[in-house]
Amino acid sequence: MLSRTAENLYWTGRYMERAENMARILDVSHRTALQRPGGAVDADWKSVLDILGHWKSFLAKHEAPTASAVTSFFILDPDNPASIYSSVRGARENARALRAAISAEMWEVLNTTWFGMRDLDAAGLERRGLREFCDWVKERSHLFRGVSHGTMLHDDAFHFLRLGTFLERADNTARLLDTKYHLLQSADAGPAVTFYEWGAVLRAVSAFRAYHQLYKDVISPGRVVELLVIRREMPRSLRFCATEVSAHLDLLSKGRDLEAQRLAGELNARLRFARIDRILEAGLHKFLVEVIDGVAVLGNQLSKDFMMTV
Amino acid sequence: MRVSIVHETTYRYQSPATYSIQYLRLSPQASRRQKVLSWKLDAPAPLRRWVDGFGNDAHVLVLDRPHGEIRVRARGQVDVHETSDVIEEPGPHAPALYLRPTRLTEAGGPLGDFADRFKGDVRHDPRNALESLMMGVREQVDYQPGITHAATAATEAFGARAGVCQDHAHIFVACCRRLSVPARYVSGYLGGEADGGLASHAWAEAWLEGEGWRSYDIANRLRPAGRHVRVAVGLDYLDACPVRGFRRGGLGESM
Amino acid sequence: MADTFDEMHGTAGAVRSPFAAVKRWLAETPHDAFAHKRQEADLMFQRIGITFNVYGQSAGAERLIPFDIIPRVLNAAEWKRLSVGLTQRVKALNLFLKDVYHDQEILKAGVIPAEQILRNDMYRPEMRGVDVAGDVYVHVAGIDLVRVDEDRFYVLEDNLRTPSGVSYMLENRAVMMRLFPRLFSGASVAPVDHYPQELLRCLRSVAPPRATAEPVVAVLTPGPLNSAYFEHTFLAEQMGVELVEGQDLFVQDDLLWMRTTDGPRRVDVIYRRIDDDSLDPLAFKPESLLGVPGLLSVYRNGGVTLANAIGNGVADDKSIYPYVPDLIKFYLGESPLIENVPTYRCADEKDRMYVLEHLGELVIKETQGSGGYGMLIGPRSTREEREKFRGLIQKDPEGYIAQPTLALSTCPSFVDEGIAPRHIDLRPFVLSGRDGIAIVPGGLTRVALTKDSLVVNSSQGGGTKDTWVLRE
Repeated sequence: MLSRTAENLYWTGRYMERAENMARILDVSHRTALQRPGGAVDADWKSVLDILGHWKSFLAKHEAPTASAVTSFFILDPDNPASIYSSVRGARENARALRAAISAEMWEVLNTTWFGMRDLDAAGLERRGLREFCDWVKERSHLFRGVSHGTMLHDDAFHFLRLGTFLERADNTARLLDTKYHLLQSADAGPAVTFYEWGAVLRAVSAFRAYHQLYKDVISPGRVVELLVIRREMPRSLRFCATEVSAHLDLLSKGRDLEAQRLAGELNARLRFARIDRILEAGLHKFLVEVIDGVAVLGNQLSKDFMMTV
Repeated sequence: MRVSIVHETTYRYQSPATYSIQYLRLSPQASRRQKVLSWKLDAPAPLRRWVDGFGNDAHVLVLDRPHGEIRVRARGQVDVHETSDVIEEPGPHAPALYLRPTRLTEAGGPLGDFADRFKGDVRHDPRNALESLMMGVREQVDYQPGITHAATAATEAFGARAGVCQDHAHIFVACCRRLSVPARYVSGYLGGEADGGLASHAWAEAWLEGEGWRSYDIANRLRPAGRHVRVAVGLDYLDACPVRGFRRGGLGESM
Repeated sequence: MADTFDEMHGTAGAVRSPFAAVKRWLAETPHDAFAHKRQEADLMFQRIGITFNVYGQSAGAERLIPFDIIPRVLNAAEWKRLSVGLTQRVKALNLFLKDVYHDQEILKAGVIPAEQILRNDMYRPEMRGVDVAGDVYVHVAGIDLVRVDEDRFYVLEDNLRTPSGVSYMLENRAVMMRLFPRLFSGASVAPVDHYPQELLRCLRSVAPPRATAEPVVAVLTPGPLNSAYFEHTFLAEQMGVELVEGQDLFVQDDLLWMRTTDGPRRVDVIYRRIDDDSLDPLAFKPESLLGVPGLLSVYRNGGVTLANAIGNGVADDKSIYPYVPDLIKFYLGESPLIENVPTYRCADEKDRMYVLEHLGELVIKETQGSGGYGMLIGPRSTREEREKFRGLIQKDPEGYIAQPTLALSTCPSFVDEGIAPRHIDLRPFVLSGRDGIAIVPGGLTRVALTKDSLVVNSSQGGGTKDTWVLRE
């Protein structure tokens, strides 16, 4: 297929995943802020900015990380490339360029989602409520994935779409974990804090129940990290994402030996043979930064290997 | 006169370009005016030859790996006829094609008025009229680099009363066409005095009924003889320029 | 103005035989059913997405071209006559283009003044001496025809550069067949859906000598913001070839390549829907981002075929139109089977005098412009407008031609008042390949939906109809 088409598909996947992850993070921060016994509500909203970056551009427009400022910045702001508005717009714009490569239903999902964002303002968001809005975004993302899986030919177009989805997911999950772990290690961690904070992280990735199914024990930071980094059953774990990326790349390579495959293989191996105790000993932050960098390098290599615009 | 040429063009980019392509018009052809004794082009990749729509010898240079600069060198020796009365090659097109104005060679406004002063003379005594036109243009327009640039149109340069040889040539060509005299833009080299010295140069050719194409070096107020090596012709600079290129990636180009 | 010829009722009032089935259908179907079907048709077109962007309006202002469900019908004999005449005309135009870019015999013979060609901006010096595959310059021609009575069709205009509208022809038929299957089983209508196949066959036949055994064809589009983008995607899809934009292509080793996920892939034939000026920023407009830098060098060296060729505008310009009958005579030794609309050339003194004396009766057209904007329609004009054109003609006589106002034929159409006659024209699409000329029966019928309007342009309130050619 045309490299440009592959690029559009890749970015459609990345943008929809990005929108969903943003909704998850905002939803969870909102919930923990509500549950926090008195005081420092802003800490949760502050941590959103820590996870996602963008402090500078945030402070250029807003004075303090209050709930309304942060949600407005990350949901509605068209100038913020990480906002849900920008992600949904990006997904739709990329899809518009490839009407022939995607099914009519897929286009319809993206188009309708876009209209929903386009027509939303601060007052509308307030009326709807953050919780309901975030549920809506997650739903649209699920719908898009489901419709893609169910209506597209599982050919190269599908593989590029999935590459985008899983690279974005790996990146976002690593960042979420990195920030939360750092914040929570440095704070006073009594059992109540552990339950609420780490519970929140699990809910952000829809893994609260999964955790209990797998571990049948209280929530411990080490196990949360394990679940999200190396458990292959967990669809939002780094391991799961890396496996998917390699699988789709192998199908795309058609027997050629691509540098991107080698990089994906490296990432895969690192996660497959990792041991949590060793990672935590050497430093989780260091490990996660390597993963985030690896994902970025892999993204660039994709451009080269498939003749996309460099 | 025997003219020796070593002409090197270098483009540098601030960050590497990933793909670049150039049309090169750097190869003089044999004609009634000149004999090419030797000629060589050096470039960082194999050159592909083609003949453009105006009969010029051209090459295509493609670089498809990351590169921060492009360096092309033209080298050779050309014997140029000494007299100024040479009739130039007709080329593949009838002269009437060269009556067509282009964006760079429109003669409107004050430039048009200037050209119209020569209307009567062109009808009665075209030879002398064109010489007067050449002198007149040069008188109106100083030689001054830095005022105009490659995309400056004739009317602008005339309005600024300053320019370089490219502008003199465009202005002269624009006037000729307005006077219904077919005229073409010429790009080439001007050999220095006996001691050497060489520059890329631009001049013009105008077509006289019953005679043919005659050259005019407006910038230097003379009819080319002995030192002008003709490389390419066209309707204007865009058709005849030595290098015209495109690149992907690579910010900040400097030559 | 003469009596208008109605395609269904002629001038006498009785139903002409080609329209018998349609007449029956109109009589038997209740009015409400029609209203319902018309709405269905609109919905179908919307869903297909066959919209277009009107020039000058904001991006995203997409509109449907109105579709009228009453077809226009020609019988086999009528179509055969047209088909033979169109073939003759396009053959002569291809020979003209070859001649004008090579030996220029027609100029030497004095049939057309040399300056008329050489000074015309549409004549491209870059095409001089280029040998094109099969000597075919016009691979896709849209020849606009009008009818004035039972036996007389005229060529209104030749479109030899990037003619559009064939996707409407195909979608109109598809929608009609979905809405009125019984109507089709009652009549014997020649199919049209093989057009994309014929187009592909034609394009593959003109692959350059260096192409591989399976030549690669691609459709080059300016992109989604272009008003005909739907048609570009539609044709690429139907032919099973890639739809590319300039940025997907690059030149290397004297060949043209596509950037694909499997690496660079050679392209042999480009069906280009961008204009000459935009094709190569190193040869034409430097600021154009739509084309491929270096493309002209590959084209001149025979490494790629462009359909339609560069420089066809010299043959479809209004200033050349009056000479086309002379071209047919010069190259084929024949008289034109379909005539031009009688035309006065303002550049000719006698013609000009006539024109200036009869401004109120004639249609004045510019010789280098696009349809419908720079025109004077005499009988509809104000005194001021006529005086304005008098001045324009006197200032630049070569810039204008004039034609009598024609009473274009009408066809019954659905309008606010019910069913009423509206003026129509016809654009058949003529395909030329190495192996000859192919014309899919019918073409696009355009209808001026405003009462008494003669302007069928979609950008000015026109609509389209399905065109039927009966098998007998």
